[in-house]
Amino acid sequence: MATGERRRTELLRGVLDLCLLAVMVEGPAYGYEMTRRLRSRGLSIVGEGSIYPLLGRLERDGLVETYRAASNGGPPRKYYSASDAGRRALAAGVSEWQAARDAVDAVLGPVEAEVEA
Amino acid sequence: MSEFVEECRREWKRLGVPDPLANEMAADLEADLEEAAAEGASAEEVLGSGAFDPRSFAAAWAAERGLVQPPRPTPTAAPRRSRLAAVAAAFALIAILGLVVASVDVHAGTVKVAVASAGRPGFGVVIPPGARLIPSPAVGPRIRVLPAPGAGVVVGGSSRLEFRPVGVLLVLVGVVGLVATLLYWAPWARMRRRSG
Repeated sequence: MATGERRRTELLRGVLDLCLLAVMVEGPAYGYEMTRRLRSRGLSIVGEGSIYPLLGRLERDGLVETYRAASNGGPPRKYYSASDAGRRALAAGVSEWQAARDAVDAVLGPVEAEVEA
Repeated sequence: MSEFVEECRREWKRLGVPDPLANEMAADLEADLEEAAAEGASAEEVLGSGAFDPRSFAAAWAAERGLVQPPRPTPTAAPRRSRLAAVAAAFALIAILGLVVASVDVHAGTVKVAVASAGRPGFGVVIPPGARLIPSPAVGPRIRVLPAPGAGVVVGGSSRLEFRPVGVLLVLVGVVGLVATLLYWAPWARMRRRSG
């Protein structure tokens, strides 16, 4: 795995659960539908990581609610939606992410400006 | 069912995931992979690098769902070293305890016997503190006392408990255990275990 891809994977690993909760807030979704929603925002699941173990953890931790229903013309699927606890965890996680992103930006931002100049 | 999903099912069965849950996970996975394939997406886009290792993928999914115990982390070297040090210290303590017990036996438990004779009638026998004089007829068949006037056996400091064998046994156990622990702990032994 290339260095850039590895770093991107590691960065994603820390926030992928938040991304899943965020796309669930838009509406209940089954596994591949969440992958599709993430991909439409430029976030593809490649490298080390898969949404399925994460969905399992979110379910175990009570952050999502699930039910089975028929998909559009396909077999019954397991739909996930964020529970109240999941929404609270998402709000807290987004705050943490923004604080971390701002701090990193404060360090890396000037470096990028110098490179561009 | 795809080969990937079949591999996952075998792994879940091996791990003891209940069949209804394994069936549900397999059906969801199969449907997602079929849908992705229909859209021209690769399995890697759905599964990440798990697409190349179905067993690890299946185990991780089951563990995260809490259906099986996650694999135990390998004990780190530091706790193992401290455990070995504790075992060595325990054996050393046993050996020291054995020495103390044996020493107590030597100093307090041994019967000290001396034949004493006044030499001539009318002279006394000097008895050390803590000892007593047993007249010769009471000594028994194993000690023969010359039939001199005023002769006897001076006996002192006897103990009813035999500590010495216990002490020697403790010393043996302690020393053998200590040596075995140190041999196990030795760098060359650890290297041999790793290479084996």
